Amino acid sequence: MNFEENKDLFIRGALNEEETLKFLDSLDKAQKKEIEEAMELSAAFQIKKAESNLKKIQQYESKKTKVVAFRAWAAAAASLLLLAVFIWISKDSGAEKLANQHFSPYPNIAQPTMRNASEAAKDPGFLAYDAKDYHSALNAFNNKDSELDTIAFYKVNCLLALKEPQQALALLEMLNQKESTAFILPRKWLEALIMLMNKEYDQAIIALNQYFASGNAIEKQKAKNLIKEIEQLRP
Amino acid sequence: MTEQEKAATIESLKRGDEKAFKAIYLDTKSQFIPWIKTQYGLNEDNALDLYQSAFSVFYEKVEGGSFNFSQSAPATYIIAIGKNLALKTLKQNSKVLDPKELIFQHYTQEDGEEKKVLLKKMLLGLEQLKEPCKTLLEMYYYKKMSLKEIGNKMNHGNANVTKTQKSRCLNYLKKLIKKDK
Repeated sequence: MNFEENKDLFIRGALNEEETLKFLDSLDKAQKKEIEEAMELSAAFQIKKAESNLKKIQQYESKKTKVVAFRAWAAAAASLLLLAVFIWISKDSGAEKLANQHFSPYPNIAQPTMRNASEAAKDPGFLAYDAKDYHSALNAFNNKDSELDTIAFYKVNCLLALKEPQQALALLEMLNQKESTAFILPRKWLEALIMLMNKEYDQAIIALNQYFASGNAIEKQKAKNLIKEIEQLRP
Repeated sequence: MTEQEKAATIESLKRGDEKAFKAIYLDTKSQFIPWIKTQYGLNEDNALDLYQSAFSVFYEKVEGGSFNFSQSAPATYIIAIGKNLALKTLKQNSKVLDPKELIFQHYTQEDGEEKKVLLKKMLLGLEQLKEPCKTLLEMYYYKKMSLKEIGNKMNHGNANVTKTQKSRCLNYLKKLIKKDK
């Protein structure tokens, strides 16, 4: 049997213990890499399946959700009252403050800190980003290839952390125009927050509805909550 | 749930009956939540997040055909996963739990950081993958179907077409993963 046939049987778990050992021993470097990739992809599908099961399971809790929803409603009503007083006191800063409350820089998954790994090998931009030094991170990212979508996305985060929403929006628009697939969902969230900062409430809600449509249960809830808060805030 | 009911439920679980999953979910939950709250001092929300994460893993194992009913009872398995996740969470001192992250932690507990990063990228890539590639790769890498079986399901005519299509889909996924780098 050739490699391709054996590989298929191995992936499907159709080889017995002896055949598996023989097959793994026979692999060259490239074949070994191919098998590792296949195993990683199988693992990724398992995780994805478990994540989608989570959505089903959360629906088992419908009754509880209603109770929680009622409590949340009561809490929201109380918050609304407080918010109304707050808006009455400081009408202008409400939208920006709400957006800032819902903003936190996206975690660095591009070059996360690894155990036992040397920090020296890490991109200076991401080193600064991890240290929450967004000014230095932005400078370092500016020196990199601005065509890289991931870098552009992290620049958007830096700009928002540095309270530069208009520059951040320009970068987001650039990514949208080139139909970048990088970080689509988190980008939508940031777009909604910038629209909110600009008091473009309708645009913010449109972006949040798009976020809601593609998000998981938690993300949907997050969008719903913010839409509610915006509805309470708008004139 | 009586022993007889449990046995019947297990048979239904094997057939993928949603009602059976819900019955096991509710039955095990009544044992798990009070226990984990007392044992680890968790609040109701965090206990529920842990439970749902553990149950999602169990659900996946049954659906994927890798859960061995003769080796472990569903409740024992779910509680063991939940306990393991609770211990890890407490070590990390997390106050708010993200069920998706808990699930990820469960599947990658043996992996190094490099592999974890790669898997996160793969998950992002799979989210962006369009049909028919998503279904085809899932049938091959998750449901462990042969190329012939996939070809029949997808009306490809013969296994060679499926093989070519699978290679194209895999290359497309790799491009998506690279794009996010």
